[in-house]
This record gives sequence, C-alpha cells and structure tokens, in this order.
Amino acid sequence: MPLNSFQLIKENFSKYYHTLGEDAFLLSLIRQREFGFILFDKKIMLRHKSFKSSEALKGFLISLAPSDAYFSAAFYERPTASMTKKGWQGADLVFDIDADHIPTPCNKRHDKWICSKCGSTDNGPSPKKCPNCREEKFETQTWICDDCLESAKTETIKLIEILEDDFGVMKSEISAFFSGHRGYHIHIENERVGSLNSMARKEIVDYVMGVGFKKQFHKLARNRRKEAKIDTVVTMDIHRLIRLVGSLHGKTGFIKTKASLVNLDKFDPLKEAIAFKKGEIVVNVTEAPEFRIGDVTFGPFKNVYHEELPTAAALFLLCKGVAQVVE
Amino acid sequence: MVKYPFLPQVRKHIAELGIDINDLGELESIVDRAKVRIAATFEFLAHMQNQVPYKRTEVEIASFPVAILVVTGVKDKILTERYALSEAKRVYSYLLKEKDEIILGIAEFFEWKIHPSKQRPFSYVVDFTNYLPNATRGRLVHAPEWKLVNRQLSKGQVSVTKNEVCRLLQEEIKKYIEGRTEEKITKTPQIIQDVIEEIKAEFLKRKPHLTEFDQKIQAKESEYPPCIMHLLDRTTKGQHLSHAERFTLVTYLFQQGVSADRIVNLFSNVSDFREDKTRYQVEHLAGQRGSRTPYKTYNCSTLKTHGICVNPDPICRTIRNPLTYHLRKKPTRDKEKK
Repeated sequence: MPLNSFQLIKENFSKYYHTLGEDAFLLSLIRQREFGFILFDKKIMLRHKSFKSSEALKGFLISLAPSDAYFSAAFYERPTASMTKKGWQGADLVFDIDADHIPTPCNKRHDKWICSKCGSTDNGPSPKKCPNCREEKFETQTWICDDCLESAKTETIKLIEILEDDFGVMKSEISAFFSGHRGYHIHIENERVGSLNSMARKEIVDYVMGVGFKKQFHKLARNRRKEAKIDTVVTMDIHRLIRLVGSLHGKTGFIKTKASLVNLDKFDPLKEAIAFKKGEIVVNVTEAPEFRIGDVTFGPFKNVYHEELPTAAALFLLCKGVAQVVE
Repeated sequence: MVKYPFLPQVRKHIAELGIDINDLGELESIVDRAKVRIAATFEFLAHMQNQVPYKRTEVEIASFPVAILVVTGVKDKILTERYALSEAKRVYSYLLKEKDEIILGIAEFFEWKIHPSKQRPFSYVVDFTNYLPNATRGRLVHAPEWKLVNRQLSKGQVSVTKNEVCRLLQEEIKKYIEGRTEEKITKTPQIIQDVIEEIKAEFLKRKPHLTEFDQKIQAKESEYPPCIMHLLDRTTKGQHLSHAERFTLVTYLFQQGVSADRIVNLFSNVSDFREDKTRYQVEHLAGQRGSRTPYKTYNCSTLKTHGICVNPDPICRTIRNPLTYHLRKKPTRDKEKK
C-alpha cells in the first residue's frame, strides 16, 4: 500500500480513538490484562503491554493508531512478563464464530482465488488443483456481504442457546460482539468458568461442535442436540489475545461492536459498526465486489478512478487494499 | 476421620490431640505408619499393610500429614503422583460404600456445586465447572463415556451415577494431595528427615522400573501417521496451513529428530514464506528459544477437535498421540518382511 494511503488510514483511526468515551472498551480487570497491537508500518505484533486505566489505553491508541488492537482473555499477576512468568489467574471463556468456517453460497459471488503458478483465477473458494496447470497453491481474497454475516449470526444465536440451555450460563454473563470483519465473538465472564484449563475448554468445544459424539451414550436423550460451528483454537487457548472491544479492525475500518442479546437477530453489523460517518475521500479502486455500508450499496468496481466515496466506504476499500488515495 | 484425613476437621482434631513430640514411642508409630503409606506405592514395603489402617486412630490420622511431609521432602514428581494416586484410590474405595451425606460433604469441601438427583440411573448432578477439570484427568480423558459431549447436560448440570461421582472425587483428591506437596515446608524434625532420606534412596533404586520406557526410536518418513503425511504433502505443495496445523507438523517432526533447518526448508514453498519468521517459529516450538521447553505434539483427541485428524487407519485406533504411531507400525512391517 502506498505511504499516503497508510497515513490517511492512520489519521482517521487516531481521530476515531479521540472521540471514544473511556467506557468504550468494556474492560474488567484492566490492570491484569495483557495488550497487543499490530502497527500499520510494521506487520509485527507489539505485545506484553499493560495499562493502568482505560484512559491510558485510549491515549496509547490515539498516539499509535494501530491497525489492530487486542487484549488477553486471561488475567495475570504480571501481564507484562514473558509468557511463562505471567502468573495466569484465569481467563474469560471466548468463542469466535467466523464466516471462514461456515460454507456459504455467497463465497461464489465475492471470494476469489488466483493460482500462484499460472495466474488463472475464478470466483469462489480455491479448488484442490488449478484446472489450468494442476498446481495446488493459491492466493485467496475474501469479502464480506450480508449473507455470510447473516450465517455467522445464525451460528452465534445457536451457540448462545447452547450456552444458556445446556451450560446454564446466565444472559448477564454473556456478551456478543461483531468482530469488525467476518464474524462474531462471544465472551463469558464468570469466575467458575474462568478458572477452567485448556483441557476442560476443549471438552466444551467438542460438546458445541459435536466432536466425539457416540450414539450409544444417548439412548436416554429426549431432545436432539444443537450444534454450532466455532473456531476450535480460540476457545481452547487460555492465553489468547482477542480483538479489543471498541477498537477498529485493520482490514475494514469497522468497530468491534457489542450486539444486544435481546434483538440479536435484528442486529445489523454493517450499520452498527461504522466508525466514520462524516466526509468524503477520493480514491482509485482496482477491483471490488459490491458492498453495503449503512443503507447505501457501493460497487462493484473495476479500475475506477477519482471516485468520491463517503469516508467509511473509502476507508473500507483502502483497508482491504483494493484502493489508493488520490492526492 | 480415619478414612478422610484431608478434611479440615481432621487438621483441627490433630491439633487438639496434642501429640507429645517427646513421647518417642508415639511419634515413632506415626512415622512408621507414614512410611508404610508411601512405601506401599512403589513396592518397597508389603502392599497389604497399606490397606489396613493402623489400629490406633490417632496414629492413623496423624500419619497422613506426616506422609505428605515426607513426600514433599523427597521432591520427586513421580513419587508424589504415585503417592497421591494411592491415597486417592483408597478414598474412592471408601466412598463407594458411603451414604449421600458423606459424599456430598466431601464434594462440598472441594467447593463443588452438587445435588442429589432422582433421575435413575443417576444419583447426582454436578456443575460442569467441577465435572470437567476432573473428567479430563488421568485415564478418564481417554474414555468416550466421560466426554462431555456424551453426557446429559442441562442448565450446567452433568448427570452422574454414584460410582462416577466417587471416581471424579478420586481425581479431585489426587489433585489436592499433589497440591499439598507443593506447599513450602519450614523445618522437619530429624526423625522425619531420616525417613525422607530412606524413602528417597529406596525410591531412586526402583524408579527406572516404574517409569515408562522412554522410547527413543525415531520414525522414518514412511512410518509417519496419516495426519502428518497429509500435512507434509500439503506443505511441500505450498498450500496454506492453519496455525494449529503448522504447530502439529513442526512439533511432530522435531520430536522425530528432524533438524530445524530441514523443517524450515519444508515451508519454503508456502506462499507467505519468510525464512527469518519461519525459523524463529520453528526454533521456538523446538524449545531453542523463549521458554526453552520443546512443545509436545497435540494428542489425537485434540487433533480431532481441530479437524486435523484425517484418514485414520486401524493403527490410529490404538494410539493416543501421533508420536507413537510408528512404534505400532514397526511390528507389522517387520512381520511383512518375514
């Protein structure tokens, strides 16, 4: 990405963090959490950071304007120490539901693959072998649309039902978030659950996904079991860094936003997670499928020059790496 | 109290007994009994003696904390585990014959959320936060009937039979005893120090026979399990591997003695390959950086959770970790040769 595109994104991210209230991060036990950041200039993770208050965290976000910001699901005695010396005290139980893990018909419309060898390309998920040169190595591009976000939401709702009905987790202990890109996060804060080790969490994952299910042990069962598709690694990892609530996603410029459990089915991430609501930016767009922001649909674009777009739409394309700023 | 010497009221009772340290006869009986408790776990003294509690209640009760003191002093992980297991198993055998109130009382000592249940064949419902940490320990973790997905779970409550609740408590007690041996000890009387030395010497003599034979036979590529072959195949073709997949492949190869250089090279076809980054990660997993402990390859059950277990064959059904696949494969291959 050209330097000025980076700078423009950074400036806007910084401005956004400026407008935030200090309660925007919805963080408990802030002093015991580890924080991590990915910066636009260097694609490495800056981690083992800690903050005394939301105010300090906010200040850091304003001055660094990172591409992505994370906090640990775990709480530690010494959050800035190296991994083995941190002193693990517990961790929120976290679930990640991502459209990547759910086969949806819409990926035919907006995802695409390019063969690394011969450059052949087509829509949809990558095939096993390139139909042209038989090579098995591809670059892929994913996009978001209402359909894949909706299917992620459906899984999220199923998961919440399992957590409430089977695991007896109270609504007040469950928070649901739009991740800012292609999925949802569920955080559970409860002392008893928080102390569970990775092995115990693996059993929760297997239960939710139906892994290891044997019919012979369910002869007495009255109801059919519900299942939900989740990312297995995230839930099992008790040291995981999770995207910070209220922070911007570096691939979209959207906010990781809390979604109310009451009307989750009506929650519209492409409206609720929009950070930039004012102004326009002029960009050149190489290629982009159709997308929606708020009530407006944009694109599809192919080699469009000097296009004036609302800030949110322009930043989305810039973050996705399919547009450049026109000076 | 004789049966459950770890309960808090027993600690109180011992304090009240006011055992006279100067009464050598009394102290000697306690220390002797403590020695038997430990020694029976590694075939140093006769096993039978361990099963019969000492006739004098005070001595029997007091021998438990003394035994813990001794095990703590020996500071050997395997001895601690064996000792904790034998005490926990003993408690399990007592619990099986107990009434609800005793079982519930002991579960409550460990802060379990547990209630009696009338829904036969079950006798109790246990909160999943108490069920899981115990059902994933020891042998239970490998048994499909203990997997949460195969249990009746409603509103956080797992239904269990009486037998099962005793078995879960066995794990809890084992963990508790192991925990107590991690407590710092200040000063031990000479008579106990002597027992520590004696037990240590006797245990070290027998330890090599007690620990599992450390298999150092490394696998040839043709003996790798199907999951690893699949990952290897995809990597050499330059396909993208998830983090969990890379972790599995790298830790497996490293344990089989493949050098970091060769592992890094394997990934050179992957589209986002960067030698410095890959080398850093490989060396980290190999324990050559950072925490200095090599990471262990996931167990088969975790590979199943992450969807990495593919095309399992009959050998796969007999193993718990991909690292042991080739050890089972070898005999069949040798047979074929003959």
